[in-house]
Amino acid sequence: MDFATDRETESLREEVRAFVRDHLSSGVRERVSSTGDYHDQQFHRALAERGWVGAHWSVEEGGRGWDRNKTDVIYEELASAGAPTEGSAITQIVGEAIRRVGTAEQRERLLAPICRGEVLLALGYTEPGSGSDLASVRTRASRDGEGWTIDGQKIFTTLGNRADYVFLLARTDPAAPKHTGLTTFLVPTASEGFSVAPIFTLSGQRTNVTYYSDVRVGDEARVGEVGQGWEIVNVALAFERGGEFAAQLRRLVNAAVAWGQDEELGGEARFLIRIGRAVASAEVSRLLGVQASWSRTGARAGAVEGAMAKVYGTEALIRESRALLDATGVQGVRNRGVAGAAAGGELQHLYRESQIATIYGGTSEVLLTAIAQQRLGLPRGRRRPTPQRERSGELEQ
Amino acid sequence: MDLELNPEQRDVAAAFEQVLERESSAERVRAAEDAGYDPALWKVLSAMGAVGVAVPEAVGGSGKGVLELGLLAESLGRHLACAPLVEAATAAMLLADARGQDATLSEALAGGAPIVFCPRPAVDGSVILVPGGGGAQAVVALDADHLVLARGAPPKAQGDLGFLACADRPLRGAAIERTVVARGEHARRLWRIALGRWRLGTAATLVGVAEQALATAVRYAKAREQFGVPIGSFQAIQHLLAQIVMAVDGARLLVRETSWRHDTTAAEWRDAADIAFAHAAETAVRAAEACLHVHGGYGYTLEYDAQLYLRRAKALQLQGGDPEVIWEAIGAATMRRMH
Repeated sequence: MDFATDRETESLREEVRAFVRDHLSSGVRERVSSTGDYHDQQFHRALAERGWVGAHWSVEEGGRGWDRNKTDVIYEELASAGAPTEGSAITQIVGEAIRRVGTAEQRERLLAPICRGEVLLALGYTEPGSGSDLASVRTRASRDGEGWTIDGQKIFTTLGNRADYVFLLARTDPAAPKHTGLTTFLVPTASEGFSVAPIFTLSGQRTNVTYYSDVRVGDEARVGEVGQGWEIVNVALAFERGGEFAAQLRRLVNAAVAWGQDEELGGEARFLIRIGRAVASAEVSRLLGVQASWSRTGARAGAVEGAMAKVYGTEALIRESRALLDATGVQGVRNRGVAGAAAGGELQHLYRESQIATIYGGTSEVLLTAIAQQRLGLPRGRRRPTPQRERSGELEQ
Repeated sequence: MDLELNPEQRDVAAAFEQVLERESSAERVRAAEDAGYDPALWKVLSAMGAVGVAVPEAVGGSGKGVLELGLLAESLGRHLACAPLVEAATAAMLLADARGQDATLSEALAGGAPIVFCPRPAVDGSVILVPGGGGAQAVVALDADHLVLARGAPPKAQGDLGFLACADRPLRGAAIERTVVARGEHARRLWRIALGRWRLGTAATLVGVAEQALATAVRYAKAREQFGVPIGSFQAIQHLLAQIVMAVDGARLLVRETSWRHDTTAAEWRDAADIAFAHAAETAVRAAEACLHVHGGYGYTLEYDAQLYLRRAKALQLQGGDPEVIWEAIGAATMRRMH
């Protein structure tokens, strides 16, 4: 048993903090808040120049061959500073899939450019009719000579307006059982027939609907084998779940503590109790994240551990941001940017933002079921599809 | 980073677990329930050197650390042991840290009746509801400015929620042999360290209670059928228990990381010990309540063990005082640290 992080990792932490001071300028913050894209190309390129995108990939792949724990430190620090890292994070998630199942040509074409910050990727999984029941997606990819024609619609394609490719989950075999008829593609957003429309959200973040109308791609756009899409997406999803929520909780505690130092409230039990609970939640989330990362370094994907870190961290984020916002009383209603906003409006903002965390990358309900069955060995329940769903389901096509 | 126990730690934990399976069986726990103290179990534990597990070898201990004490405590929790090992091990570490207490320390490690640490300071010269106080030959406690060791005939346990042999112990008086271990600032410093160790060790015990309550609930949910299927296949039950396993993993990691810090680095561990205790206590209570609930009406009966987990978990939490006061202290420490 050894919880030590080496000196190198600790000095990296310092380096990231210095990087944030130098690069997270008011200009970057302003661009993020005006576009609603939690991505800034200039910031992203600066990250890549440091070698901090794909740093745990091998040198041949364009990375630096670092330990996974070390890269986690980078993104923890960036998240706790509120830096726009969504583009970097999503791109690396897709990169994990490319590393595992991509062809030599795809790895060559994409991994090193990803590490250099030249390629940005978005996730195209969810559809208007397919959320938690992801395997029911109906976006169709049909054989078209050597290539494929794609038709359909995706929702919540965050950064789909900025990305070079959408990592798309599509149905290639409507006759096959729903989990086996799926295939993943990297669809260039420059393709004819691709279009995007914005959706604005509670936190001010922008996401998108993306449309695919007779989009033609070559077979080199296919990632992994035909019919392997479900497994690929599940491995990629496991990489979405880790300790980054602990960093968000730290950001929350920092904002509340800084505010409490200046207010009389800082000495009141009702405030201190909430700080105490938030600190404990941040610590537990951090350690569940450590457990998830650690489970990932072996041959295992650490899927259950990742799910546990995700559910705990995101639920804590809602609970603690709600409690700390409550502590500000009516002052908390002033929006971010309004003069006199409690804690600069940060607590209110984090409370808004936290609401989506228990939904994306697998809802708490879906993940709790997975934890109960895979970790505790509880038996699967019976599922009875509603007659209407059977009628409209892709299995009937 | 390595979250696995090393082979030596695994052996220690496995050997201890085996002993407790035998010496703190369900029958033994129920037999000891009224007294809250099982002298035969105590004899076995002290003969194994458990009291001195975290005491340096040079002064008669086995030179391991609070991490190893925690592994033993997890077993104690799982088996609802009626023995004040954490209180005795904390007292032994304190006597080893204090100067000039070698004779008392030898006695504490010699295998007689326990010498226990009280996790709350004295009021008017006595400490109330000392866990293990019903069987102990002496109590170590903070009495105003003095850290004292008070010997006296152990009173009968009062009968308490957690069957922890709670008893009030006077620290002064004609029938008491009182030794001042430390005074003033030195006394307060030793007491604060000891309290942190007690909270860590007790947090480990609570992790064990929570684990066992969860395992019992899972086993029952797989076997019990209603509506023609195991109740464990229902989402409501699955989600309840999945919430608990996350909190239990978190509690175990908190306890082990903090113990590791205590043992191997000069890094701050004391505030983290409070967090570990507060979280583990809340988790154990939740786990025990869930265990009882999953058993339906049977969980409420004395025949089933769910009530035992609930009582032990809640009582250990209350040994630390009002939980909200600890949360407040954690908040205040955070404000100071980040100032």
